[in-house]
Amino acid sequence: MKTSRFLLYIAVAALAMSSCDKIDADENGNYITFSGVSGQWENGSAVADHTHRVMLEKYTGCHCPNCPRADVTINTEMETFGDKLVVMAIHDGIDRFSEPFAGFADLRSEVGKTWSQYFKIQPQGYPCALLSRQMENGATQYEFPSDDLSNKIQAIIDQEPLVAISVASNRSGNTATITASVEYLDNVPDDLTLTLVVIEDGLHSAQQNGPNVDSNYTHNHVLRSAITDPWGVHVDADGVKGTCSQAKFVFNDIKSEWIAENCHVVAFISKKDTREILNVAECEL
Amino acid sequence: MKKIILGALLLASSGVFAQGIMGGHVTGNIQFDGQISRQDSTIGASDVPENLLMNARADVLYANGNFSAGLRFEAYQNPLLGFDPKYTGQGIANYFVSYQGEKLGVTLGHFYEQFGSGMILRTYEDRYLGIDNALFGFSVNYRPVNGVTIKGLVGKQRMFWTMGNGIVRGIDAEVNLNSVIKAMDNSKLRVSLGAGFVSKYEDDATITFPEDPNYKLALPLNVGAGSARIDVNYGRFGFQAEYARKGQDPNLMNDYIYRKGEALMLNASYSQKGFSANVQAKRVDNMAFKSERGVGREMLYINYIPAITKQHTYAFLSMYPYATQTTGEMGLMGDVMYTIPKETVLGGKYGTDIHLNSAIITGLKTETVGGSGTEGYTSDFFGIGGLYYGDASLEIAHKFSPAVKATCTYGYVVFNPIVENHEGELHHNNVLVGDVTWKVNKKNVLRFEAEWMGSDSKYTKEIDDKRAGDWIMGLVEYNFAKNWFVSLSDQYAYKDGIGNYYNLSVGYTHNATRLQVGYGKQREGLLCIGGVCRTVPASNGLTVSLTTSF
Repeated sequence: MKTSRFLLYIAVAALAMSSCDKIDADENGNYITFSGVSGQWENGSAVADHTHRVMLEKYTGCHCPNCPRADVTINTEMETFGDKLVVMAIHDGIDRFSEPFAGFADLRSEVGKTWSQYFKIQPQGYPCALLSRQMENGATQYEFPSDDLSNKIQAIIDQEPLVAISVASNRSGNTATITASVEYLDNVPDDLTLTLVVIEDGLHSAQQNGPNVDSNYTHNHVLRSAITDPWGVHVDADGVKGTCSQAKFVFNDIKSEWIAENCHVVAFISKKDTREILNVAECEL
Repeated sequence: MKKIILGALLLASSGVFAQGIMGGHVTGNIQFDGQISRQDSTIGASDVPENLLMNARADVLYANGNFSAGLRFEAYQNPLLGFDPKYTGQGIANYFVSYQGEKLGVTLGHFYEQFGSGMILRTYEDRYLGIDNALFGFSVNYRPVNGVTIKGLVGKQRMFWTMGNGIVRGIDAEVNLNSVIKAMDNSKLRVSLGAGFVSKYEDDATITFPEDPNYKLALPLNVGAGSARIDVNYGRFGFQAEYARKGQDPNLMNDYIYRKGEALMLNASYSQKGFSANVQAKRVDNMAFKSERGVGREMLYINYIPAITKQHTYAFLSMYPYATQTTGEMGLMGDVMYTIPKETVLGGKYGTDIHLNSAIITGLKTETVGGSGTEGYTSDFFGIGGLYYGDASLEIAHKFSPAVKATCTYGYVVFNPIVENHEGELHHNNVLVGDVTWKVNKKNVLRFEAEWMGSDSKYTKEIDDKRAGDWIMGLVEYNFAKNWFVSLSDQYAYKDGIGNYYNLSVGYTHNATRLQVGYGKQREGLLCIGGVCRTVPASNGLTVSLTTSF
């Protein structure tokens, strides 16, 4: 009996190990994925708006019954803080909670998965949020709907921003030319990165809501894709107060399944080593 | 972990343990290699800033019944010429504890393992090649019934003084039908079957698609490889076959293509007294399997493709050793040994041994479909590509008297420099070797060796292959006073080549201890063992080697 049990364990282990990944080629026979554009940097002019904005990343899933409650909280915060709060809903694809319902839209994204793995979201459960990827004693700070988000958001806004950022997009067909401007408001010795992503509002798709499934739930701020590398591109500036740089990106990977008019570009500056976000801006795609 | 094992060893050796634990024994070996080399522009030897280079190691093994534990200390201060400078440093490079019971065996720490012929997994260590791809982790083997062995393992591979990024998981089962099936117990037909599966996991990475920098390769994080094998023996006949297949595995070795890998190895043999014959064939297609996709050269190989070419021992026959092309090759090897019986015209009083061996290795016939990020190429299974390597050798050994034995060898080698990543024409070499051993008396033995190599290759500064040209060599070796030996040799490129490589060696052996001091010139080239090679740079100077075991 013991022997057969042992063999069973071995067989299970073998099955687990046989999860050999299979990558499918695209229509041109290439095994590739969009990795983000690198952009062209040049000297820029001062950024007019020095507001310190907060980025709220909400990790969520279509099968997460408590996530709609978090949306209620977040909507309240958005009403309170207006454009000082930039929200992203991230369906990270880590486990079954973010799998799409059969016949409904797949809201998962590779960039979301990359971030979720890095920030170890899964053990926290959904919904779970990060506020500008703030850290305390070297550890990522996770936020939950029951937390006092208002005060935490306000506390970040009240901090003097180290950098200011603005972003503008000019779209034609499935190509957008995006310009991001950065101004150093103080000396910043850290290496900084600029990350651009696309989010989409007004997606109607199924969502578990408590014990029920709402087949026409409105998903807003859904993270669709990274425009740059998920961890951004190096900010080509010397870090001295008053330095202004701007970068131009040509993004030609606007998917046909997105409604471009509902999409926004989110641009944020973060520290390369800790990933903490220093400031964020948003514009229509 | 390191401290726990060290502590356990100390406790065991200090007698603190109860008597049941004591009574084990400690064995080990120590090796020291030192090298002093100076600049020599005639052979391309460069100066060694440290003056003295050193590789040293000590293995200590404690065994007590089913339990064993061991460690290996290594020191490279700094590594000998030709060894990767990343070895520089010293410390405990290998340690383990192991329990091997009747049915169950478990090893924690560093371990070496092989599934079948190694085509999906073989971790090993070769001090002369500077390769150690030991797994560090957990290994278990289980024998539920007589004739059945199941192995499982998880670990990371050693890479110099660190670990590779990838996690290696493997399972293998082997069944000896003669042990399992009672009806076959005493059968002349002996059959064993085996199958294994190995998977490696590695984090994602950004590898830019060369045709569009806005895209990167979609990398498989889990790469699997499986194999099945059979070993059949019937009387004097033997047959072994193994087929392996590997999933998509874009890596540095295959230029990040997505073609699946496969390998087939066949071996048939016949042997009887005075005669044996062996035929081997293999086809390898994109089977470089490493635990870290971005690592080149010989480090972090999970698998091993067995070499089928003969490991020549004579200097000129081994001047162009063949390095296995894990990315793709086909090969065929035949080997026949025959002893002409004693008391015949050709056999004489003591018989004559004849050994004929030939091998040919080619590339695969492929059609390119793209570069990195694509399928790479297509290949017809039986399509034969360009010649990589071929050799044939005939060796005749005859004992003229109890004191005198002579061996004559003729060898032919054709070599394509492309296997060493060099441009150039095929080299065709003819080699003649005469080897005479004379036992003067019980304590004194003389050996003479003469070699000649004629080649169509010519030395040019542009290619700078110092092996090119026609060569002669002489060697005298004298073993005396039971423990001592002295050897003097010289290799000289007398036509179309450059170099005069003389060597003098003196050695002393006493029981398990051997000390050897050599002085001379070493030609740059390749040192290959089992098809795995490392570059040996030119050197001119002194070498010291001390080995002992206890």
